[in-house]
Amino acid sequence: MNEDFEDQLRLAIRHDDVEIAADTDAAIRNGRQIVRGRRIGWGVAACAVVAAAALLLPGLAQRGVPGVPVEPGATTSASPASGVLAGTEWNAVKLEGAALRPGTSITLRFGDGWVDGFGGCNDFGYTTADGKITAGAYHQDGDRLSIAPVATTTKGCANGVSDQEGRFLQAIPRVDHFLVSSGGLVLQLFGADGGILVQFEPAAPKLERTGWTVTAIKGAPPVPGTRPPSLVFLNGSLSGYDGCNAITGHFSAAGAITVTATTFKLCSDAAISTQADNVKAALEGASRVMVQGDELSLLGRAGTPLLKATSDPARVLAAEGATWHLDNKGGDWGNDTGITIRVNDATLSGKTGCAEYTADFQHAGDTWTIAEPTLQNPHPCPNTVSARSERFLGLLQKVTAVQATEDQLRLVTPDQTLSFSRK
Amino acid sequence: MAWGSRRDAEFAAFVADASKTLGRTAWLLTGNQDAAAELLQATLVKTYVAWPRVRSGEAAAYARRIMVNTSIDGWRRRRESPGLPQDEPGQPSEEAAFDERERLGRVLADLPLQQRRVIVLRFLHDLSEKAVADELGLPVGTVKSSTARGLAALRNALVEKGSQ
Repeated sequence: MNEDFEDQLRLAIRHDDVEIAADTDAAIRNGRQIVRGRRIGWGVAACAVVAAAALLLPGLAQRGVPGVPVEPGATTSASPASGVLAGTEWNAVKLEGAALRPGTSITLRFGDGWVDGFGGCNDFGYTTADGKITAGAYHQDGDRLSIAPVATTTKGCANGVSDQEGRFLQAIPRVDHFLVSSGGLVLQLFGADGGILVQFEPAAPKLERTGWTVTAIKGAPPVPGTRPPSLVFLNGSLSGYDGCNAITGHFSAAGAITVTATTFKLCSDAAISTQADNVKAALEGASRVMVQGDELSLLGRAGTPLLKATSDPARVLAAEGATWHLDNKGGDWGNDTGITIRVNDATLSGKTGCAEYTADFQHAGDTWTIAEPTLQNPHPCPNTVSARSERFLGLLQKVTAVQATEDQLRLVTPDQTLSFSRK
Repeated sequence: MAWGSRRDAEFAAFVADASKTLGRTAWLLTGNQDAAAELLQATLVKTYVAWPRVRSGEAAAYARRIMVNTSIDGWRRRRESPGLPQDEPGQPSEEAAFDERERLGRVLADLPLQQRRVIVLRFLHDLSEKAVADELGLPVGTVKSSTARGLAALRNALVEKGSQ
């Protein structure tokens, strides 16, 4: 019976019902950008990764500069650009003029032609048919906005919550136009009669435990040939580098960033000094902080992009300074290998079971390159442990990508994935 | 042939050879055509970047490893339908078989990520439990339990649906 089912499963999942097309040219083009960036310096590489990420994630590429808001009183010539809502996430604050019921929430996210979110009781989203979005599709043209009725889960909730959710879901297809105001801090959806159906505030950006390499400051890339500015948000604190000086500060759950101190090193030239000033000004002057996929955007009051950055998990790992322990318990590594790794700013370090090691590494997003490790304090150890140590050091140099979560670090090599935990 | 063009030619040949299986893997992991296409492209770019180190070995296995270890939780939210497709009475058998496979894909997409990865590697790629453990950096015991739970969930979901 079990074998029958497994055979059926094998047959079913191998059937050629679905064809996912690969774009070889795009893969080569984007891969080349990353490879080229590695050769000429990592400041540029980071830009290449952003460019690649934009192409990898079509949504990012199509959005252009997302979230450029429309101020109240804007003339028709300043109607919002197409795609202005794509990639934005919002929390409802008022429904048909009344505040939401205490303790309830309604969220709405705009994707590339689709919406999804949470109605207070049920998740809602979109469906597709023949490759086209049907339920949950939206179309924006200037300030005109139409949203098709959404697909929802069907959980039952307390009457008040269900009523509120029902009114919200009924309001969605009645939307006729929208206004983003107050520097992008308010979204209002209007019906055809001009009445406000729903009013939103931006969903808080998820900054905690994120690390970023800056890719643009006031629209310009970082000074070429220099270490790019960077930011780390960890345990409510901000630590960063403006290209010249260290920055410290804190951030709130709502995404408000405060700079509290910087070092006062003399910058080596005027371009770096200006860049440093602009990074600090961006952090202090941002009225809106958005995280969309692998990109962080700080926007000014008029929605002007002040700073953009691309996700770089190595920066968080370095800031945490945690020691990670090889965790391939069931594999052929044995149960307690004594193999550890620690991520520092530009080096990896740890123990192999027979020695301590350090290795330079380069990182751009989740793509890592690790140089040949240097051994220190070697001590005699049994042959099996020694062989394991050699094997680990060999694999380390083959690492190409990393995946980091709060409690697991995975280093991907062509041969196998090395999995580490904090212990 | 210049270095770049040789690399590109080798890589293009690899894509032509491996993209069908990788695309299928991506679709099973994401349960969504668009997200699968994104996952496939992201995997191919990473494979291109690593090409000098993987060209002589198992490039397909490397690409698969990159794919199954890529975080797809965010992408998964955009699955095509929040519900399972309904059977329509009197469908021709080929159509019914298609629906059955479609349903299986959707049930699979609703499994926890680890179970989904394990099921795809075990039953699409025919990897042993040990090989799956190596690929995902998991203990073999976890692979065994994830397989059992995943199969049970798939069986229950399909049986429940079939009995409705």
